[in-house]
Amino acid sequence: MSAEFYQEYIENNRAIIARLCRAYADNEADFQDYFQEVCLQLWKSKDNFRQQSKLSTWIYRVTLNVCLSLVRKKKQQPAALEGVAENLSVTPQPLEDPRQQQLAQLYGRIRQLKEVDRALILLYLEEKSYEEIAQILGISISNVGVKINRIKNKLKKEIHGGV
Amino acid sequence: MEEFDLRAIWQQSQEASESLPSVEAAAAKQHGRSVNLIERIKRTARREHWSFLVAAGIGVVILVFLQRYGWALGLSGFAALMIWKYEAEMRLFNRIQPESDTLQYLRAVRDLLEQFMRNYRIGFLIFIPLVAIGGALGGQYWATGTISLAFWLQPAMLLYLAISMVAAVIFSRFWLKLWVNTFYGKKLKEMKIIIDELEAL
Repeated sequence: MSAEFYQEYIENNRAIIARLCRAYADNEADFQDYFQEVCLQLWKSKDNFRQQSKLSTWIYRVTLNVCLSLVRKKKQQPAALEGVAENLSVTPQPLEDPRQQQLAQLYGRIRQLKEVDRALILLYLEEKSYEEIAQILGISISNVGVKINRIKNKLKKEIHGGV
Repeated sequence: MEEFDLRAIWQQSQEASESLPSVEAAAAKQHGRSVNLIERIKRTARREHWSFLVAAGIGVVILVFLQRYGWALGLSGFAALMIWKYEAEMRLFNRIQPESDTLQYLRAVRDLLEQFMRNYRIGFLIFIPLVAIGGALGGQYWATGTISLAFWLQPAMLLYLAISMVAAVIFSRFWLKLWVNTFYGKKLKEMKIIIDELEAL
């Protein structure tokens, strides 16, 4: 992979990495660990990219694999919703903003999901096709849709119902 | 549409990329020192390997100095075997690629972790009786100037051997539970659950 191509593609998509890392991190310190580790792994494995899969598939795979296998330094408390909202943007927006509230709620609910469900819904939210989701996770495509629908409905119910 | 709603909410999390450090900068921040599970195990294995080589080197020098050439040769042969084993392990480590699909990656990490734990267990099972036998042999040689097989057939010595083996089994189990499980066991359990769930899909 050429340095220019890497620069153009990976660097321009680091927001994707950040979104996935946030969904696995309990707080800002965790997030920094995840983000830096994913960046390091992407940087180290950039020469292994052989066009066998789409670049986006490659980025999602590395990010998810790192998030699922990283050993956290210490047990940390889950972040409060306010903290989540603050961490989501550069200039913290007031939590009174209903859209930010919803987003904070969505992140909070996603973090409570089981690891696999979390990966599935994140890939769905990132607008990946079922086929690509199956390729990223290494699973059969047959049950992906059903499973995602269940998680989606659960999340919607929790967020809309204000559980 | 309902399904559009979640995605619409998610779209708000499009973070301004300018706020994030570049991938290169973030990678550099780690100083090339990964906190990834594989890298941590690799570092531990590397540390142990070099500690062993230094100890073996000192041992060979002492044995040569004492003119125990046969023992020195034996220890050198054992060290060569350990170098071969280490190289084979490193090849196995390097085969695990973070860009593999998630299921394949987690299975590879699980296998590696299990092997890592098994290695420790086997190491203790061999090492403890070996030290016990070596100590007794050394003691016998020091006291009598010879090593006789009859000495080892006495009930007291057979009991001593049995106790050392039981101690090795108990200690290896205890150590695995206490030390390895503390650092890696929890992660291994978590990963097994994820693998099971992915396989069930």
